[in-house]
Amino acid sequence: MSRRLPPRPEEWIDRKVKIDFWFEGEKFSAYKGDVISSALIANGQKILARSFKYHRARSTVSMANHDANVILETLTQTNIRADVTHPSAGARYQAVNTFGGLKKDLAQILNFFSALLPVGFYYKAFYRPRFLFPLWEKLIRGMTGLGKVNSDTDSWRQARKQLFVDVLIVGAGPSGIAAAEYLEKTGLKTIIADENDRVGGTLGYRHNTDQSAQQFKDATIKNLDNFSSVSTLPMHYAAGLYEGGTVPIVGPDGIKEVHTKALIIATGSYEQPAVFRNNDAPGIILLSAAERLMNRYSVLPCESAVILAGNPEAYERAKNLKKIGLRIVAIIDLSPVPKVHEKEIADARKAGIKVTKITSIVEASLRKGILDSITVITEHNQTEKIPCDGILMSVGWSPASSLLVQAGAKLSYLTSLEQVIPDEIPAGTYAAGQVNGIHEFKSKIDDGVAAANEAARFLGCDLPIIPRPKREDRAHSHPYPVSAHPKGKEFVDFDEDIQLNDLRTSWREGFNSVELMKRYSTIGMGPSQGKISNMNGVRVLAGLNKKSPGAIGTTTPRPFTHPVAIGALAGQRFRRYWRTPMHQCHQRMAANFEENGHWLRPMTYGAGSMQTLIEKEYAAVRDAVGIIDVSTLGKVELFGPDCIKLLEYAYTCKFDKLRTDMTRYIFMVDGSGVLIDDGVAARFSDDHFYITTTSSNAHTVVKQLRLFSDLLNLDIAIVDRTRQVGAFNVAGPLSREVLSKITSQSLSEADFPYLAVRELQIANVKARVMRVGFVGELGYEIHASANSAQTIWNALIEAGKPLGIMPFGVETQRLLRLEKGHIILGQDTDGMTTPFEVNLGWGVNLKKEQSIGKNSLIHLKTQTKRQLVGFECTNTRKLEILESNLIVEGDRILGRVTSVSYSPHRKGIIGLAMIDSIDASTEQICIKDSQGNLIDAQIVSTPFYDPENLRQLTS
Amino acid sequence: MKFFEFPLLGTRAISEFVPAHDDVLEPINLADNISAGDWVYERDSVPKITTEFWYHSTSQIWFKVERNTGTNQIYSAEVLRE
Repeated sequence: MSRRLPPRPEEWIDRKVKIDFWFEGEKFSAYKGDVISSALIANGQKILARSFKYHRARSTVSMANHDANVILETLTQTNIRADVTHPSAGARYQAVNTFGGLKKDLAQILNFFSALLPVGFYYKAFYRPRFLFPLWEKLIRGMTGLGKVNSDTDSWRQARKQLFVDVLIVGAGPSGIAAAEYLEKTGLKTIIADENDRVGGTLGYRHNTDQSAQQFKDATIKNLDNFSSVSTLPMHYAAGLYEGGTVPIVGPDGIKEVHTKALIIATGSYEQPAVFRNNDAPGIILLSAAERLMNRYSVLPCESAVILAGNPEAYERAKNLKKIGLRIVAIIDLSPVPKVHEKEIADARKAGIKVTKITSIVEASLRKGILDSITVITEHNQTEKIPCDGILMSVGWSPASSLLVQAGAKLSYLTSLEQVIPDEIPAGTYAAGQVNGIHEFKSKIDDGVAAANEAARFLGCDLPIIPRPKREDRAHSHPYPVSAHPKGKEFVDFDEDIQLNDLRTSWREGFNSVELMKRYSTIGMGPSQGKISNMNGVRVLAGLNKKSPGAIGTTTPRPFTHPVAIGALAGQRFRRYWRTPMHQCHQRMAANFEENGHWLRPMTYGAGSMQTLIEKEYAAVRDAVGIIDVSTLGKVELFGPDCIKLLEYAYTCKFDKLRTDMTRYIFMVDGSGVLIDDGVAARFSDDHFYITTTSSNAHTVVKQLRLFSDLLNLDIAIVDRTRQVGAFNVAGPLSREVLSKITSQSLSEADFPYLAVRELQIANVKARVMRVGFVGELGYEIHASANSAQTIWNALIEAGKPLGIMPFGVETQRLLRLEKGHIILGQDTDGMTTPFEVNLGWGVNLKKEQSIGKNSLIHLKTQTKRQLVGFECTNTRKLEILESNLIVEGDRILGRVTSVSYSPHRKGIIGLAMIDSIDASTEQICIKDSQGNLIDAQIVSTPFYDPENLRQLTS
Repeated sequence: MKFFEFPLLGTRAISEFVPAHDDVLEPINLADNISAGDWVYERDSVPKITTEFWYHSTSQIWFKVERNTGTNQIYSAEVLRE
């Protein structure tokens, strides 16, 4: 039962190459160049799919991806549009959305219950009784969805390309090609893209008996390859238009982001279906689907065709298809206005085709789910049943205008054409051809040339103006191709199984504007995004509202015009890694790296469990000496008379008590008084300061300092030295001993007290050293130029070997600082934490004249409602407390755990928690772990370790 | 990709910039009828032509930019520091 026509020179298939594939467990044979649908139809397959809601039998409608009836999947791929996808050899395709396969789909029964499943039924049912809802949810979730994702599939990515051109032409039909030809002469850098395998558009399947059209085709298409300033990209579709003239065009090898100065949209139109009872049956297709099937793939859509003619071109098109093998039983003429097709009807009858004038369609009848006949009401009010296995609809067009609307164009309804056309298109974007409401072949060419001329002049070319051709006065679309039936099943949207009555119901329930009707009925929200349903929906709504379609308007088309694979959107992987100057040292010492933002930082060193490694490193720091790389910190050098002005504006404290060659802890809030960064400031003189910031905020702090200094017009130079300077902390009771081995300068308490900053020569390298206390031991933070930092690090490791020096990582540092009760911004603070909530009120000076956040802090000082407290848990009952576990009091949530760890010093769990302000007498809090168990903890004052800071005193 | 010509930098994609839309200096004292909350949070959210501060992240220079918040058209850009 082969539907394959004899070979023709224009066909797109190569009969020498066979491709075998499986569909629903049956083997099929395709030719190279076939798409899956054409191969299936050629081999006699009638039912290709099941519909979304009612699981009705379906087949292709447009053969152009304007409908989404035939979606297939394999084990490794979903969302395969059979109408535009070539079969892979050996692939096993299944239809989506069936229960037990396409033929025996168990969910077909839903079709019988369709009366209980009207539009919006899920809003009105299932929520009572409440206890049944989980059951309904499970049931409905099981039934919905168009395909299954196999999470075992290998992920893939396609690198993205960036292209910069003067003009992008979307669509290589007659208008697009005419525009390209014109632009080649101007020398403007142009790309012309087309979604099909080959360029030509309607030249290949509609105007192919028109002499002038064929001459045009033969002349220009060959030339496209030889053009020098115009590149042709078949198999690429434009996914959308983004601001600044960016159009991603999607091809088999990924996305090409085209950045263009001028845009010509020559995308043509979507042919529209008629609405009548059972219009969704397999065999009922758009006339252009038949044109594509027969011209491209040499496949007969049916044995006996009825042509539904709602516009004049139906006749010429029917004749063309008859010439290449279509058997036409009858043309049924649905003239919108009496006598408007008289000439065409006379010609058709002369050619021996039966033409019946009708006033409406009663229904299509099915046998075993397949089209069997069509019943119509003739002009003489007679009912006539015409047996057929194919109904080819030519009732109208809707422009493929998404990109134009995204450019800012409006869609106006032209009553003379009975269709919308793009209007008020902003400068730089141009419509050409059928998308512009131009239907006549010669005018399509002229329109393409005129559009190219406008684009070239927009870009500054000195050219005479070429006027646009006029649109015809004759309608090419039927204004209301809708025949209602009391028993329903007249489908307006095939994706969502939306019938005429569903739209009436929406309207009756008050969802009577185009936007409300869309969202309530979901028309146009399916996988084909309304390409062949929106316009009919507008027509129906216009009728219900007794207004013109133009007054109803249209909904907003958004990217993407066709689905885009996530692998294509992902593009190539591009990850930056920043390595500190000591990176090689860390590698040699078997560091376990982790990404902290862009930085690669050692978390721990060596092999073993995290717990063991942390314990080892902790012991080294507390008992001997450890060294940690802190090069990731932000570092800023400030020069100039206004240093203090800037610092006192940007930070919360006053700097007058900071003496020369000393440091202090500083922190910054934003305009709302929320903590955003902290660090250390070192003063060298009144006009020379050096500050550090947290690693993740280095960039932001520099940005803010520059903004403040610009706005305040300060006399200051701000030098961002973050990545010029390497830094590390040597910490532990033996740290001074190690450092003194490689520097000749005095490190005595008198010469180098706690919090002082000194410039030292260490291992013959100039370094800036600050005595700091973050981890709670005697320690020195050494800053040196990135080029020399490694020298100092290596010298320290060498000098410290006999004393047991060990490198320690970020994980151990977190434990050490926690024992001292020191907060980490972003962990112990959140996007609303003020200094008063974390015991930093001492660092806030509200008497300064002007500082950022001052007014908020004045207000917030008396409004503090939360506080950070330290807690200790001596008996966790072997349960685990994690960060973000809740602090509860009965039913109330008091707060959450922000930091928690086992403390070797306290031999128990310690942590910090941010909780609603409590009574001073409260001694206990209750922690709820992740499984819901309750654990009691004691509130203790911090620091947990060395509360008197004795470790900072050197002997 | 949206481009604009900036002083010192030439024509640049605007994605190279970090906007700080209405960061103005903290007032020394708030007027009597404006609370701290009003000052920090209350905004006049209508489409209009505003002056904004934009930071060029690579060269670390702040610019003063005039933009129409409704159409996103940029009218002018100058270096912020006088």
